[in-house]
This record gives sequence, C-alpha cells and structure tokens, in this order.
Amino acid sequence: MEILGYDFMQRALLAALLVGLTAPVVGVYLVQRRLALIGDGIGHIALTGVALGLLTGAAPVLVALACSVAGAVAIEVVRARGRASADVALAIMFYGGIAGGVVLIGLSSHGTPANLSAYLFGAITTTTVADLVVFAILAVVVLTVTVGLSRWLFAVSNDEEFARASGMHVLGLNVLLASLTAATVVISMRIVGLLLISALMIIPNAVAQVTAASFRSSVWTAVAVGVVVSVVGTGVSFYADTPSGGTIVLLAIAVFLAAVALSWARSALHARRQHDVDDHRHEHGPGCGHEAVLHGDHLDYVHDGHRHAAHGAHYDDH
Amino acid sequence: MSEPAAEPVPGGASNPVIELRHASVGYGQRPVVRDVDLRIEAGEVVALVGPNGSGKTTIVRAILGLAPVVDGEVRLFGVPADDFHERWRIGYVPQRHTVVGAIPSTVEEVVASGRLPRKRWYVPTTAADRRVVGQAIEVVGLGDRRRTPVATLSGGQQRRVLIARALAAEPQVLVMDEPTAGVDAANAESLTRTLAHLVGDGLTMLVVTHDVTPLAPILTRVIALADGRIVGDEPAAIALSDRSRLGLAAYAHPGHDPHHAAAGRTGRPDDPVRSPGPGWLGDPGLPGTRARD
Repeated sequence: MEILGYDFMQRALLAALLVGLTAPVVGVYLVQRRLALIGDGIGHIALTGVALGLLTGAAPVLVALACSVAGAVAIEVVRARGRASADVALAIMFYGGIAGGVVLIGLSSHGTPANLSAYLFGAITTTTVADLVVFAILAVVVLTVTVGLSRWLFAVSNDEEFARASGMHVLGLNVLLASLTAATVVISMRIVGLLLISALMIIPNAVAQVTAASFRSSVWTAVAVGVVVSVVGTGVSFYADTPSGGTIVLLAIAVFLAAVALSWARSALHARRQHDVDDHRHEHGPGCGHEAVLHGDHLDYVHDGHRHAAHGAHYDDH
Repeated sequence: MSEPAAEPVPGGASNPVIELRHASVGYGQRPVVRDVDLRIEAGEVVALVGPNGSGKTTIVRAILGLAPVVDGEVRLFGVPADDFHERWRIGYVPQRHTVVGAIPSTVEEVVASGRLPRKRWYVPTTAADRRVVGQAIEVVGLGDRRRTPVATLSGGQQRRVLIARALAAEPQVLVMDEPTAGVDAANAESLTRTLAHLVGDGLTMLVVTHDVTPLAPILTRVIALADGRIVGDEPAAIALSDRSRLGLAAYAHPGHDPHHAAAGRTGRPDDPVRSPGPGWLGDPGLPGTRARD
C-alpha cells in the first residue's frame, strides 16, 4: 500500500493505533460516571501546556503532559471540595486553558495559524519519532494501570457513595483516573487534537452503550471501535487531504449512528419474532391464564394473539 | 428514651455494634441531627422511622462515614468511627431505585464490586470471591439473572442487586435506606422474606423506612425520629401492636391498603417466614464466612 511507503504515515498510523487503544479504555470510566465532558476540559488545559512548551523551546509533549496532569488533579480536587461553586470553577479553568494556550502560541515563534490548528484538531504530518516513543510509553503505562485497577475504577465510577461507605480510597482513585485521562489527552494531541480528543474517549463508549450487555463487553466493543476509526480515519485523512482529528471523529459518529440504527432494528425484530423466557418472566403451564392449544406432541399457549411453545430457553412462535 | 444515656459498660455485658454518643450530624451552624444517643446490639433488627427531614438518613450517613459528625461520637464495633477501618463489616444499601452507572453492567459485575472492600488492590479475584458473589446473588433471588444487564431489571430487582452488592462483602451489619420505597406490596413481601433469611443467619440490621408494615415480621425494635431527635424507642412488638404510640400509622406506605396497615399484621408473627434455599453463606469451606461476634 502506497500509504505505508511514507515515514510520516507510518508514524501517524502507529500513533492512531495507540490513541484508538487507550482513549476508549480510559473514557469508559468517564462515561460510567457521567463526566463525559471532563476529558474535553483536560484537553483545554493541555493546550496551555503545549503552548508553554513551544514558547520555552522545551519538549511540548512533555510540558503538555505535566500541565494537563496538574490540571486534571486540580479538577478532581475542585470537584471533591465544593458542590455549588465547582461547576463554575471548572468552567473558568477550561476557558483559561484555551485562552492561555492561544495567547502563548501566538507569542511564540512557531505561532502560525496552521500550527495552532494542528494542535487543536490534529494533523497527520506532525508526529515525530520522539513523540511516538513518548506516546508508546504513556500508552503502556495508561493501559497497565487502567486494566490492573479496573475493578476499583469500576466500583468508584459505578457508585462513588457506596465506594466511600465501603472504605475505598475514592479521592485517590478519582485523581488517578483524572491523571490517566490527562495522559491520554497527550497521547492524542498529534493525531486527534486537543479539542477533539474527548470525542474519542466518549463516542466509542457510546457505541458500547447501545450494543453491549456487560461492562466487560462494553470495553472490548469500545476498544474495537476506537482502533478502527482511528486507523481508518487517519488513512482517509491522507487520501482525502482532511484534518485527521475531524475525520476520525466524524467516522466515530457514523459508527455510533449505525449502531443506534442497528439496535433499533434488532429490538423491533426481536419484539416481533420471539419472546425469551427472560422477557416474559413467566413460564406457561396449567392455569397460567393463557389459553393452551394442543399442537401435535406439545402444548402451545396463546399469547398476544400468537402461540408459544417452550423450546429450550426460549419460546417458538407457532 | 427508654434506655439510659450511653454509659461505658465495664464488664462487657452489652457490646453495641453501632453506637452514637451525644452525636450531632450535619453541616454548618444547625446540624440536622442533634445530640442523639443510640445503641444497636448485635442481632437487632431496628427500624428508624420519622417524617421527611427528621434526620433518619443523616444518622445512617454518619454511621457510614458519609456525613460529618460535628459533635459527640460515633462508635462502630466499639471503635471510634474515624479509627474504624473494617468498613466491609457494615454493608450499605443506598436509597436509590436504580443502579447508577451509564455503561451497561451485568448483575454479576455490579455485585462483584461489593466484594472489593474485602480485597487488597493487588490481589486478583479468586474462585472463593466468585463463589461468595454468586451466593449473594442467589440469596436475593436473582440467580437466573447473573448475566442480565442491570438497567433492564425492574426497580424491585435493582434494589435486590444493591442488597446483593452489600452482602458480597459478607458484612455483619446491613444498613438499608428505604429498601421498600417504590416497591409494590408483593415484592416488598418477598424482599422481607429474603431479609428474614439473613436475620436468621445472624445479620444485624438498621433500616430507614417510611413504612414499617412490610418489614413488621422481622423487626425487633422501632426508633422514631422527629426534627433531628429521637422521640420514641420501643421493642417492635409494642410499637407495632399500638401504632399510635410512635405515630407509626402516619408512615404507612400510601400504596398499601389502609386497612392492612391499620388493622393487619400487628405485632410479630410467631414464625417469621423463611425462604428455602441455601443458608446464607453457610459454606463451612469459606474462610471468614461466619465471622461475627
């Protein structure tokens, strides 16, 4: 494939793979906690970090990492402290992150509109080998911690109050999750961009929400969607000459819409064709209230105008 | 109050699992709960009743470490609450109709999260953990729904999931906030059968409720609160036989038949209903399953 002949595309595709793998795994806990927008806020704050890196000439990726982790921890502390004022305090931090980033990038010698746009929305040509090394290390750390502590992250995200009453270290786990989110933002900054990264944490999990039946399968679904849309989106962006972040996110939204349509179609079909014992909460039998009809070697029970025959774990309609 | 204020009991004649000493709980200048003394002994099944805003839930939250104790003291198993680190010994069933997470989760996954208080973070889930989780699901009657997404269950079933989650840590006390609210009469009755089964195995219970009727068969004591203070504290047999004493008639569930609430099952039946099935975590092969004082 010609696309793989270019060094920058090899790097871009590898970076996309790392993003697609990590973003949904962290994002699942944000969605679970109904904090889908926190990732967005951390992206905003990371922009100031990137700008600081550009301005000082230090590695923008590492400065962005330090800045967004600090911002993420601050967000968690603000959230844990206040109730009434936390909402506005968070909003001010998010605006401050974007405003600071835009102004600082404008001041730096690299501060071209194209540069700013690449940081905000992603570009396939910008990933360097050094970036890739940092991304790979971060991805390994993020995945190891997230998978290793998945039981605890699940418990805290599922019911924070119960976790606290059970003596779990709720604040510690929340700060950890925020830091993992910050690291994921940094991994994504080249390909997806800081304004769009939270989309890749959230949308694959939205697909899982409508298709999966368990948390475990949700994570697998989200990772599959994340990897596919990131890699394919990066490829499309190469051929169509579009910004990679926007392309990836539009692709993810398309997958989400398809999943919604599919689940509608499936439930409509399911309702028509076959009722499981599960759905009925009722086993037909003598005196169950449904009319019984002898049908060959077995009894059918008339139900909603059709006839049921027990067959293993479900009923066949006769 | 029928009992004298809590004095230290030398000689250990009484050994409360939960004790509030002159406790005031809440935020700011005017605590919700003021100067409350309360002792709950092992094996008791206590209902905490009272109108909205009387401080029932606040007392429970103080016991669980979720609300600040601004004055006085909360002791758990004889230890000041701040120094009490075996939180798993007190299982918590929150007042909630539904399980909260936004990502689909199965009954088994949610209940398994209740096992974590017994685990260190680096110790993987063992077969014994899975067995306890399975038994907790079995006990609340959801054995055939382990793999079902919680969000697809009815409100009453989701309540059972939350009870199973609390049981997964093998607690010695179960603290429940309005377990029968929003549950229809038939389901409340079957819930009570499940709870009776747990009581029979020695679990201590503290239940916040608006409606003592469905729980009447298992209660041993009723405490009435009003405006942040305890205004009545009586054995269940007395409180339930003359409901005007603690104003209990006022708390009957609006969904219940008023005749049933007023004249129905007053007092304790001789034989609380026991559900069949395996003894609650009675498996002698499991370490610590029967550990209680």
